Amino acid sequence: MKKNKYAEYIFSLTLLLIGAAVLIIGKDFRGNDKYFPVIIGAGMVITAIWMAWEDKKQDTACIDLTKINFAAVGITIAALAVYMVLFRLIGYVFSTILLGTSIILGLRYNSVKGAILWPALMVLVVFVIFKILLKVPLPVLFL
Amino acid sequence: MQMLLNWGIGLSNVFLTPTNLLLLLLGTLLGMIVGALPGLNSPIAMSIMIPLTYGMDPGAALCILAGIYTGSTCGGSVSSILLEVPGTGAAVVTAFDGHQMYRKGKGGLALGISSVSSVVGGIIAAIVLGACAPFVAAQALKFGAPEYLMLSVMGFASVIGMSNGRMSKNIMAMLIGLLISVIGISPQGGIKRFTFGTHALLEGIPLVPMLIGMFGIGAIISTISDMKLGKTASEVVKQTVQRVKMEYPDKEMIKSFLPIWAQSSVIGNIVGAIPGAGMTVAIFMAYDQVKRYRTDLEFGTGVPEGVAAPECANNAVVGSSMIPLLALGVPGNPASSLFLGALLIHGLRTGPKFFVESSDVAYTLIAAFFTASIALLPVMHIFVNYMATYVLRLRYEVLNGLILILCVTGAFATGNNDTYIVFAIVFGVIGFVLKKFHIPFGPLVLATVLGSMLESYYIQSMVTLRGNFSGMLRRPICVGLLLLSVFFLLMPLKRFLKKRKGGL
Repeated sequence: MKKNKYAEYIFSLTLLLIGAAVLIIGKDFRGNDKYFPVIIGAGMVITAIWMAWEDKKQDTACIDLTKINFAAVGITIAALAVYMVLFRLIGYVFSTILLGTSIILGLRYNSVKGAILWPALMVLVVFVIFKILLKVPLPVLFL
Repeated sequence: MQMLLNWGIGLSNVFLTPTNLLLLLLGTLLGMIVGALPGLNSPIAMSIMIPLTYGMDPGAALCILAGIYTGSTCGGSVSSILLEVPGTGAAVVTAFDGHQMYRKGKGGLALGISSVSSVVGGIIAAIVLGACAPFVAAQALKFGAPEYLMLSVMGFASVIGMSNGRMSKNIMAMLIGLLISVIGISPQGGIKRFTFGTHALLEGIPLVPMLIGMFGIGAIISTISDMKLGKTASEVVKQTVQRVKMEYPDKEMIKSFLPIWAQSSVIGNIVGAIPGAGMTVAIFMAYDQVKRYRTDLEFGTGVPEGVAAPECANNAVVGSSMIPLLALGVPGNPASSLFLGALLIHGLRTGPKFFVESSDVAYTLIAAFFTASIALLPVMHIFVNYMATYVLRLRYEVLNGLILILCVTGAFATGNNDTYIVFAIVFGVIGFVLKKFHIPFGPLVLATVLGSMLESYYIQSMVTLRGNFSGMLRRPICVGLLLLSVFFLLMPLKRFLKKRKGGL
């Protein structure tokens, strides 16, 4: 319960810091170009304080950390991060199949064969639809 | 006369072009499938589809997107009625009576009422859209920079004031959106703002990869974060859902629904046209009104009227939510911002000149909504009778993986640039975090779209009014828009006072 409240405060604090950074960086822009960033930064700082104040008044937090499957989220984000690197190294086809397979297996799908076949099939279908039928630019096998 | 001609052009573009009609039907079916699956919704399907439309002509692109939007709004009722788990937020209220009807063995009838009501709401909304949007756009052609500035302000005020949830979070969402919009080279001085030395940020954040990230990847991460906690939807289906066949309401029932449909359509059309108000407000209002109108019925126990009202209202929102986008260039909800994204890919921009410069595209979209609403009936019939139970059994582990593949591919395809994948993934993670902390996407996307325009109009207005903003008060349209802004901003206060009064 307390952790949920702390998470809310940390979120508000993060937004406050981003707002402060925008304000500090923005005020150094020349002429008319600084007005909007300064207004946005100041607005974010004030609104973040307002959010934290409202969070403090409320008994229950809007977020429930116990209901978040952090392992599954971690696997997904890690797979996406690795994908960003692999895409440039081994190209679209293999990196995308790997992404799909790792996520499906990461979510404890019980068939390894299925976890490889489904993404492979999807990549094939997407490749045919985008590249051949719709002439949408997609990278070739190796980028 | 000109309007009838334009309607004719729009309808012929949909009905007489087999590709467009086929894409519309496919879109409606796809939307229905997505809508029926809890956790997935129309913005996810639309964000995946936008890059696919890259190679199509604008009319075909809009046909498939209109089909998805219309189909998903109706499809949400399937899981609402069969599982008591709303497929989309638009079907929350349908579960109250719809699932009770299913438990009494009237699930087929509940689904039939849902589809017929959706058809009625959708058709009326498409007609209203076709009548109102060109009129509003024609009025907006008279606008100068100060009027556009006030229009943008009114858009923000409406989204902040009319959205559900905490006002502070709505404002924060708007500020984040504005922050995103100022990234890149400034429109006035041409200086680099918040680019951190990277070339990728010089042109700002591209809209479509951002939308794919927030609505597609973000939603999938969010679905994944909720997995393995209790029963998954497919397990519930295996245990409880029996195959149902659609049954349609008889003449007597339809006759008794007519005033409810009229009432709910009016609510849906008005609420839908207000940026930020959204479907949830419309369905609750429609349900509340029908409860007042039929005091002889015990709602929540499986009353058919309890399905007819919200289902008519939510599909009425679909068409009318396009009015601010098409006529003024203001996307009032996430779905309309995705339509904007699709049009931008084709080099089109909505707003007052849209009906002058691209009237064929505008009327094709209106006709697509009209046709998709009619198509709901046969498509829903096929979906419920032959596909629903299988669709609801789909494994989420596989589904999430495959949707992510579509998202990253789509992000790449919008610009043929791998940096766009990075944008989509980064915004996916940001979207997930914001969703968990209940920061709404509507104001954020609106601010991102309007942000750069707002800044330009602000500078232009300063020049037009020679730096004297009190000059705004001498322009009647500005005053009207200012009053409307104040009205929208006071709405949360009204809700607060009403709540307090109710609590005492």
